[in-house]
Amino acid sequence: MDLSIRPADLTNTIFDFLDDGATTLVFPTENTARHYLSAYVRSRRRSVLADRAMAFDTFRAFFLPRHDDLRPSNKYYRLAFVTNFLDTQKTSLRYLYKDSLYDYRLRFVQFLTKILPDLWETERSVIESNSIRRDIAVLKSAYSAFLQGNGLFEPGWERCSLENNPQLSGRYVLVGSDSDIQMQMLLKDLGPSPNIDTLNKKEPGEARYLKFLTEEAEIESLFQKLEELKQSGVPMQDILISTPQMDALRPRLERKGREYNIPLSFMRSLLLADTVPGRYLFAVRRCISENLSFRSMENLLLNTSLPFCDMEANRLIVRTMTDSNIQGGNLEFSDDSLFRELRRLAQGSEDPVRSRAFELYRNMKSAITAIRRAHDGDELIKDIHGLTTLLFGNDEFSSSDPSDRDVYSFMFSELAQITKAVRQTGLAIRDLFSVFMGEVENLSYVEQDKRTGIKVYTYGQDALINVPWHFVVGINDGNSLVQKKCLAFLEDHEVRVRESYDVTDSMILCYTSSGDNVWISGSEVSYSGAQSTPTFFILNNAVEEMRSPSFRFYFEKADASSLETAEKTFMGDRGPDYAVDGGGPVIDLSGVSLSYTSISNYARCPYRTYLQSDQTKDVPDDFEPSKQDDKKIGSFLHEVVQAFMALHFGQVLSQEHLEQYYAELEDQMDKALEKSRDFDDLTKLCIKGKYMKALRSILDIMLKPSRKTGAIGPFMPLKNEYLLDSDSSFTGRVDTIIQDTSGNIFLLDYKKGGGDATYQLVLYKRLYDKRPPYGDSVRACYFYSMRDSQFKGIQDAKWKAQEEKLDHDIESLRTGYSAGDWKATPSKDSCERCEERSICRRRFNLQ
Amino acid sequence: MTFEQIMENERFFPNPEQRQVIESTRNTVVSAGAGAGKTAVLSWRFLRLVMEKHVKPEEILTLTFTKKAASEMRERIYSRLMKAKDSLPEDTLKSFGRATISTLDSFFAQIVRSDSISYSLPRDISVMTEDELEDLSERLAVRFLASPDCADEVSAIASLLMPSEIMEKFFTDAANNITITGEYDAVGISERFHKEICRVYEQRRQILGTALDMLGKLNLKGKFREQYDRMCSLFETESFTESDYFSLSGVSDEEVKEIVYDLVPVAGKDSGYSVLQDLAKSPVCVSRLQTAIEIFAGMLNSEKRRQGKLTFNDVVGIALCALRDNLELRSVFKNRFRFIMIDEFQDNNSVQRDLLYLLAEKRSLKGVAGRIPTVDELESDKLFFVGDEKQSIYRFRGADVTVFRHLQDEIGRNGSSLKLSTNYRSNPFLIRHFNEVFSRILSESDQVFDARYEPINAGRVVSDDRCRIEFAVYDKADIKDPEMDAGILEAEAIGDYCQRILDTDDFLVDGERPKPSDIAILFRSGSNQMNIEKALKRRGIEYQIAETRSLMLDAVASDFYSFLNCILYPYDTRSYIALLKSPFCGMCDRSIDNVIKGSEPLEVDKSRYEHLCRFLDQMREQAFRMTIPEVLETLYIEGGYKAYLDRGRDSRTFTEHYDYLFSYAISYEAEGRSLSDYARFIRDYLGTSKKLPDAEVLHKDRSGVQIMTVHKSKGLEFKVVIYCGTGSKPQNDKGSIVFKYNGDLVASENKSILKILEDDRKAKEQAELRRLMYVAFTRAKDHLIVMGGYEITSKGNMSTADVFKWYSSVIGFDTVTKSCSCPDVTVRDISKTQLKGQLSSHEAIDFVRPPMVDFQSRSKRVSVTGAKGHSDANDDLKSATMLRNLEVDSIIRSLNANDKFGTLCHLLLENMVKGKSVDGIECHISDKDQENRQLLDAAKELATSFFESELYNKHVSGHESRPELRFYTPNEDDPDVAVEGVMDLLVFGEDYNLVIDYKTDLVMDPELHRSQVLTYIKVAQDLFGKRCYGTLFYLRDGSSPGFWDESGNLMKSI
Repeated sequence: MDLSIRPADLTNTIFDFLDDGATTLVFPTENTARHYLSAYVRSRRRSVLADRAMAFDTFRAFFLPRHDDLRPSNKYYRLAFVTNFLDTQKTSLRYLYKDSLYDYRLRFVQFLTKILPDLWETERSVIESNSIRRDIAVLKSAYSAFLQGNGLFEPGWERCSLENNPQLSGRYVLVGSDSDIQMQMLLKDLGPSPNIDTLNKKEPGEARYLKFLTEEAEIESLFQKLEELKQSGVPMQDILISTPQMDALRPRLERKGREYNIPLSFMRSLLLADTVPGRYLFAVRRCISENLSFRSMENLLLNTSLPFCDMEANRLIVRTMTDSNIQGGNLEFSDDSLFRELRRLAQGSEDPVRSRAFELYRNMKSAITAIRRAHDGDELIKDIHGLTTLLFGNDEFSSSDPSDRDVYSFMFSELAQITKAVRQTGLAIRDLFSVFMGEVENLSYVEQDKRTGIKVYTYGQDALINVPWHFVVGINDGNSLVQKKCLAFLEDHEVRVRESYDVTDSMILCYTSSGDNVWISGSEVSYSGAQSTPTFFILNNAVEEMRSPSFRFYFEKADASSLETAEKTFMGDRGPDYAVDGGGPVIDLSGVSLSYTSISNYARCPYRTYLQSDQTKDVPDDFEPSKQDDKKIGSFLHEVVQAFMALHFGQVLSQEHLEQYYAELEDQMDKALEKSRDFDDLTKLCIKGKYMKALRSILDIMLKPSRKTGAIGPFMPLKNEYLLDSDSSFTGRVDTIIQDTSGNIFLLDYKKGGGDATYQLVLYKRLYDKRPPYGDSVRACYFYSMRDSQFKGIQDAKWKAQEEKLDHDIESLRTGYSAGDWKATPSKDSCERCEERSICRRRFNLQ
Repeated sequence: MTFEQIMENERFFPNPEQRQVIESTRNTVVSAGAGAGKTAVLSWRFLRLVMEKHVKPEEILTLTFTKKAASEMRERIYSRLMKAKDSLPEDTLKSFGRATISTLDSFFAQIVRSDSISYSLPRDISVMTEDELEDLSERLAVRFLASPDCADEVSAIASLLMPSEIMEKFFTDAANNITITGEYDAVGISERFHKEICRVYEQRRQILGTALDMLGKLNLKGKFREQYDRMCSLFETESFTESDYFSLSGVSDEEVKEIVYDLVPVAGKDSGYSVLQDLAKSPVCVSRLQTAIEIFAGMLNSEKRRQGKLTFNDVVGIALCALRDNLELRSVFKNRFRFIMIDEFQDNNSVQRDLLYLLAEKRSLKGVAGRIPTVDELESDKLFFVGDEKQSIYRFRGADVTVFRHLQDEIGRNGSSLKLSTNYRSNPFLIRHFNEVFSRILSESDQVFDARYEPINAGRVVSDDRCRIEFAVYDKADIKDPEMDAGILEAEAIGDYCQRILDTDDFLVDGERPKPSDIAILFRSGSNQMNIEKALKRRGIEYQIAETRSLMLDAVASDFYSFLNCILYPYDTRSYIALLKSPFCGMCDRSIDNVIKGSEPLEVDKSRYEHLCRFLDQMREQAFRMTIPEVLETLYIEGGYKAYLDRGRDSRTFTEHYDYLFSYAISYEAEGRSLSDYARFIRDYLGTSKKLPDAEVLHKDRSGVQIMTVHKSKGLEFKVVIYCGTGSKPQNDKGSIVFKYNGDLVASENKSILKILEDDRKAKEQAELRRLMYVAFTRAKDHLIVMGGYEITSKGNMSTADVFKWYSSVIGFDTVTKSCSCPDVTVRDISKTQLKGQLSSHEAIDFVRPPMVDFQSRSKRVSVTGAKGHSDANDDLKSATMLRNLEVDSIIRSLNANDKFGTLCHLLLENMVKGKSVDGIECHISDKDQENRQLLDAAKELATSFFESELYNKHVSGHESRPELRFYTPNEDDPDVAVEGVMDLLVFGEDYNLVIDYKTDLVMDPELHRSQVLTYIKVAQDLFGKRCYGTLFYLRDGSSPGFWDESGNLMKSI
């Protein structure tokens, strides 16, 4: 019998049933049952046995058949069955399975494992396609034989019946059966029973659908309302929040909660993937799947919440990869490039960290390899322990947070269950670690969020819970659907007849009266895109457009903890900022050797010079292996040319030997590439592909037949240091000095890029003139652009101007160093690529 | 009411074109211009079908291009039906929920899911985002580049690109164009491509031959005659090069000149004629790059299959194959819908068209597997396409404007090709201008991929048709200020314009000044967005952005990055110094210097330094335990950053930067990525204005000036539109070496071939640029400002970008007088625009700490429990007696598992009391098997001791009993609290009941548990109405301390 009631009467009706002592109430969830029991005790001031209100699952179990001699199958038995089935009988499935699917095992193992419990539904459905019908029959029959052979039964195939509980006595009232698919299915299975009644709301409450412009506006309005309630002293237990988008909205609700100082407690189990031990195993899996790529190693080794016993060694491994541009290790070979580099570092040093890092990497590789290869559960457990001990020491997670320990044990218990299932069935699972992690991925740890706060439920879980303030947020036409159809893994055209259930409207109806004050809201645009109003509200003409809700200003809700910190940090008295105020340390020039770079850098921005001179000079260039380091490529190309020039030191080059020179140049390039540890193989290939031609063209141009000289030489590099005046020492290195057959001296500087006109050549000429070791004075100076394969000289007029600029810049530097003037000179050009931008902050709009 | 009456009632009086569209009874293609009211018309048509054709809503398939449009369409149709509900068949509204009004993509995905297994795809396929595809292709590219089997192909790529370019210029473009249903065989494609080259060459050769014939018929003289003869000879021998092309010096014959000029694109300089000639003559060559694409496509498609993740193009491709080849499936879908309406069809391509043809195949036909029905095989009244070829701007997503154009002809032959040519959005004055401009710009090219233009009519009735059209121009040479460049100058001018629009009466609309949200600043690409934002900030004008370009250039991203890197890489001194100087700490340089050198900071900085050290330590400890959004939020709130941003109006606008970082953190977390991945993401973009991945940042309302790309503005309208950056040349193409050419994915190492492909791409891009311009202009309802700059070259020509050139030539803009010949347009010289100074972000910090109120909390349920913990540590217990030690105590202690061990014992006891087997009970307290076995054995031993005890034999055995009896009871002290508890065992006796509570404690101290047992006694009496006693049972030694009565008296026996 259905006991329809007015929405407002639900609570009292439930209390009346609890009063009568003869009725047991059945609620969709344990939470709802507990809510009403507790409310009853507080209202009636009487004790009550907890079994007077039970969760639906407990009630359903009354009507299941008993199997005293059989064990229930579970996902691990199913997994074992499916993996074995695919290995031995895959060809018998012609429709549901395609072995042309790449990596089919992983995909189909999961798919078939998931559908096994639903196969009973074939009995009450009519499948259109013969091939599907046949496949399902084959699968079902094989699985049935497996169950029988192993003393198992499939709980998913169990049908409820009154006959399974002929002694059923007493009266049971199913509360909210209209909005619960499982209850509807049970009622259908059982048929009419004098012991079972239902209790449902039939009319909607007064709540309207508040439709905001955006989800941000919706959430902000929600929290402003919560703030009002907080200020007026409403206890948080009198408020519930419900949303169909728990995962998507959770971080945004948490954020607002933090800003408003309103604590929230999310009623969901913790995903294993979100726990520290879970992250550890996922990081190991990533190391395997990415073959020890830099990112996977970084992800594992720099995780500071893991109880690593030698973090220094971890960091050194990661840093070695970045410093030596090693993209990753390799599980296939014992001596990969990282292994070699770590060994080299360890051998050449007394630093114990280096040895430890090398040992750690070597052992870690073999431990991970063992995990990857494990086929047996016990073996896998042993291997995981092996790696964990290696990384965290003998205590493994023992010294860690107790909840970490529990989760870690829980994962092993899951693995133990797989092992047990596999062993009992006598089957084997290949690639056990992947299969295990595939399961772990979907596992939740039973422990719930225990934080105190306003409870946030997943939509549907709290539909029957009546509280003074009930907020249902983020609801739209799509996510409010509560439907189920049998054989859901088959499409509509594949099944002609099947049972289906749709309680969408009943569920919304329940919510419309789920409290003294009910707020149901959604928005036109949510964080996941445009969305539509639930049809229920449109049909009931209950949509309220929230076009211009008023929002308060930020500072009215400034978070206290944020303010506290702010008062300690950026507020209050401040010392000097050299970038703005100057007044920094004085540097004695006599101890400094200046170069073109230091002069031009100071001219560009003194503060940058200050930072780079001392404070940031040892900072790594990057924090991951670089595929291409322009500076290193530039230096490398210089070295190749230098090596070639050195071969011909003092000689005269002539056009007729051009082919030979090409060969020599290429030879130098190959040798240098082979020797270089700055680049990976690909970069080496690219450098050769892209720059060999540019290097050759230096010779092409110099030895052009049209040139009058026909041959030039000798070549000489110059590295020089000298005192330009009494207190300043300058160094410089000219890439190449050429003397032609007429005795003219030319200075060349190679540029990887375009070679913009600067006073670099002016300085070099002075260097040469100041201490001329090779004879005549300089005839001309050139940049050679490797990008454009072109020599670029400086016109006389510009030369003069650059000389003046050089003098000016040297003078500014001298004055600035001795006065400690490190003011920043921000400008579009100088700041654009400045690495110190984050420290200087002058170019930021936000100061 | 009839349909007509309803329209009248609703005061909808369609114009003749609209009426024709609504009433169309045949397959129809509607060309609907901007602002023509097509959504309204579609919704009226839906209603008409329901009312007059008696169609159920679920029998009408309505498809649009975006989710937002689908949602709007749904609501519009629904509200139309609601208003007519009294005239609709019963249940029409109720069944509306089953109507399919969705995007094409999601509808096609539904088809794919229906037949996925046939395509070796799992059933749970999902569509991957652009970012996911990029990630996947990057991973595969790394695998490809490292594979020894691909050495030749890698060399080919390496000969053209550097490592840092390879991803963007080869793999990304390849991945974007590779579909799971596509063919990538290098040999086949090379052959087809060679054939295509030969065709183009032959075409050009014919033109050249004809031109030479024409010239030959003229009276040629002197040097030109010689040139001509040489040219003919080269033509014959097919050895012509562009450097041999005609020189016209000394030629006066106009006819000759005209022919020679016309021939320039075919054979003149830069025409690539000789390249084509050489290629056509050479044999088919399979390029190694082509093989690379083939291999990479194989890898990518396998991975897509494995993951069950497809791109949009894959979905469409598979949906087509599924409907084309599976007749059963085709029949299901074509019978499901009686009518199909598709909006924005200009943004689709031939695959989508074919799909719709399959859905519209006559029901009476069985269909032919593997073949698309012809137009004659379609139902005659099922399809209804709406589109506007001028608004086709999604070429990068595969849109092909020619398809819609052909559709008009094809469908138009047997059905109707209609148009909606009245624009109800824009001021008539503006519409006149659109007609003038676009009838020329869009007619300049006769390429098949260019849109055609037909004039539109003004439908809006305005009392005052004056509106402003301004062309804001500047000569780049006039920029003298070193801090200015074209971008900054334009941004400042935009700021000035906005101020003028808001603060003066120059841009009134219906007599009122526009609000900030009435203004849209539109551009093709957002590279100058940061300057625009800055200019508006300087003027205090509120604005909203659709995507941020300034995020990685300013302080917020930099500060958060510094913090994250300090967590990850403690040796990153640069980040550490940045952190010390950031608002997270705020130390001065001298203190920083001291700290870096290992000494103490200045006194003034000591407390802030200590505070940071503590916070940094805490974050290093906690960061990896938190989700990435939690890490950010902790830094934001507890790090004081929020207060820092909240301190003033200017700084508060940067909250949006944090919103973006937070949004990225959410997506990184959702994708299961780590904190180091997130830090790397920021690092990759930091200091650049590169386009960032889409982020989900929403505003509370639409209240500011709207800044967005033209693409984002599609479907929107604004009172004032400022279309800027028209003089900025598109940034050099990224130089991709992979091209889509005639449906094939093509690449070559040959630079000449690359040039041909590049030219083809550029021509199509230009056509799209013209359409983008159209879309931007037609967003304006009342006023339009077009903005851009130019330069005058040394030869006196105007050098600028194409859009500026096209527009200025149409309106007759004269760079000398800064005026134009078009009377409607005012030219405004913005060269003298001044930089308005820095942000005034140094407002006094004036915080008033709000009174913090904590949420009231009351404990609704409390549990009745005994003393917790291993009570052997409690030396103060006077009445305590030590009980025996167990071997497993050391394990219990090391795992801190007293509670768990107790629970295990209780579980065993419960089962034993019920007479159930305990064989299946397992212990998972430890992660070591051996320890678990020991614990279980010990627990079994303890549990068994109960059944051998005197208590059991005397008081339990032979009586009815209930183990683990859960109850709720009111708390006497607090009416708001309910107490929850579990009695371990309740024994029902004849005269009294007895509650027994098991203890695994190491110390016997009954007093500790007295109140607990008294509560049980009270509850048992309350529930069963019988006197009750209570006792404890210590499992370690099987002892019991005696029995309490309801008054708390302890008795030796009862």
